[in-house]
Amino acid sequence: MDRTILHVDMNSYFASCEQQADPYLRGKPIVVSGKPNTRSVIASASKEAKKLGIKSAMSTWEAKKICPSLIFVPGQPEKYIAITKKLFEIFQNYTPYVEFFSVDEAFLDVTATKFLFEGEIEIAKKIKKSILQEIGEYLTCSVGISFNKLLAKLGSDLKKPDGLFIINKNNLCSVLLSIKLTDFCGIGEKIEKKLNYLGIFTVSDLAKTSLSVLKQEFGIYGEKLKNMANGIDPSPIVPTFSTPPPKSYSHSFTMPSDTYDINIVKKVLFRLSEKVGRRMRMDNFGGRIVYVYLRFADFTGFSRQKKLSYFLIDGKDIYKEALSIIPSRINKSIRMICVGISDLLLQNFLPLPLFPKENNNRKITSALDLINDRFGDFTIGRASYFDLMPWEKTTAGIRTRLKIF
Amino acid sequence: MTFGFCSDYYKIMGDAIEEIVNVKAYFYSGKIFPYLISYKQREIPIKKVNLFYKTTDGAQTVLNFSLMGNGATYNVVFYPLKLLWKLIEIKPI
Repeated sequence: MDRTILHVDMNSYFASCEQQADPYLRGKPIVVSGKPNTRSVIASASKEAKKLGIKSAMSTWEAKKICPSLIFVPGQPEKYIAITKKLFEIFQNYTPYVEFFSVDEAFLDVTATKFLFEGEIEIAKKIKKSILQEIGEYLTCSVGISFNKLLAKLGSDLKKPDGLFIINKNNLCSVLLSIKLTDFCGIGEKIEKKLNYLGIFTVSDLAKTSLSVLKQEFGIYGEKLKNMANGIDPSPIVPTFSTPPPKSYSHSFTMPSDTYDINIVKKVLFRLSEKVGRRMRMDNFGGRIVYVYLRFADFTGFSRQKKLSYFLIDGKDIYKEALSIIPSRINKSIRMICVGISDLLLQNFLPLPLFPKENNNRKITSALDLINDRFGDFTIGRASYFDLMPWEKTTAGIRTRLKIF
Repeated sequence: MTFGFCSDYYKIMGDAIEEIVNVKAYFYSGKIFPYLISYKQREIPIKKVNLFYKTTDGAQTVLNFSLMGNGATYNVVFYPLKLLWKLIEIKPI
């Protein structure tokens, strides 16, 4: 039996949320981004801005060049997460099988429940209506309906904004023949270039290419490409209640300006390590592979990892290990720093500390976490890391931030 | 309510009013519906709630409303533990 999958994609999500909150922004070209005169990029552009040619991931200076009267609105992640939670509640009314693909798009498997709501089209209409009534009239979504995730996503992308598109077996061929290769989720510019190099320019070219040729060029991904061209995607919906545990935690930061200064690098490294440690402990994990990635100003990279014989749970230990694997002398200016930890194990299965001092450290860490949970990140830290601690308080009240963040 | 940084957007808007005000609201079925703001001896009936969302301030949950009433738009922040409301008038661009 064919599945029935809905893909709901919110249109210009962050920008629409801001326009919903502030009616004076409605009908105007706005973008949600970082500071306009920094290296930040556009996270979301409103429908009005998109009409002018401004796209997501465009740099802020580039966008300002296109539209000097563009309004830059700072992002408020908590606002968007709260609205996403509301969306999740709405989707849950129609099926328990909801997979959030990102903060603003979700797959719904309504194969078993569509009969309760007069069919999948009716469900899509009801979802659109519920969003308007329960969240706001300025938030719209595009819905794609099909028999697998790939085509449902394709359907929602084909009719924007506020669209509803159905891809069934009757119109599948005509849809596949009318789209570009990059319309598929999973084919970007790089893969398209490689395909063009092989003489593949259209979806029908891709469908005709033999599997062995694609496998030779793309490895295991070649099979996926072949399936894409034929509209085949057997991947199941992974509902939120059965999401697999994380494999790694990482944080990265792009510097406001390139730097050679090891002290700034240390500060950023400490901050990122603390954030990685906090997130890992929140999920009750410990890890033993620490990795660092540095991107230099010329876009070359340096990456190293270190496997330890013991598990780390504390941010300061992650920082020490991360610091030990980066080069002591930096010859190129650094643009971006990333710290991560992998090879995770639940803290319940970690070996108990042998020495009382180590046990005390764990107790201190959990006490610090409790205080930071209550009063905001970096409210309290170890005195030995005083120089690296970002004590400066920002306008955001109790949340403290490093000057460069 | 405080903003993360002063972008062009907030510069255009000008200085926001940040005052503690009284807000009358209905509470039912676990939800909160403000309908009147008392501010500087004036009563502003709330015509429409544009957006309602929850954020956190430390461990405390804070309720944020964007409201329209009396021909103006306001951001209202409610701290349930302190039973305290803060009001910011949003000015047109």
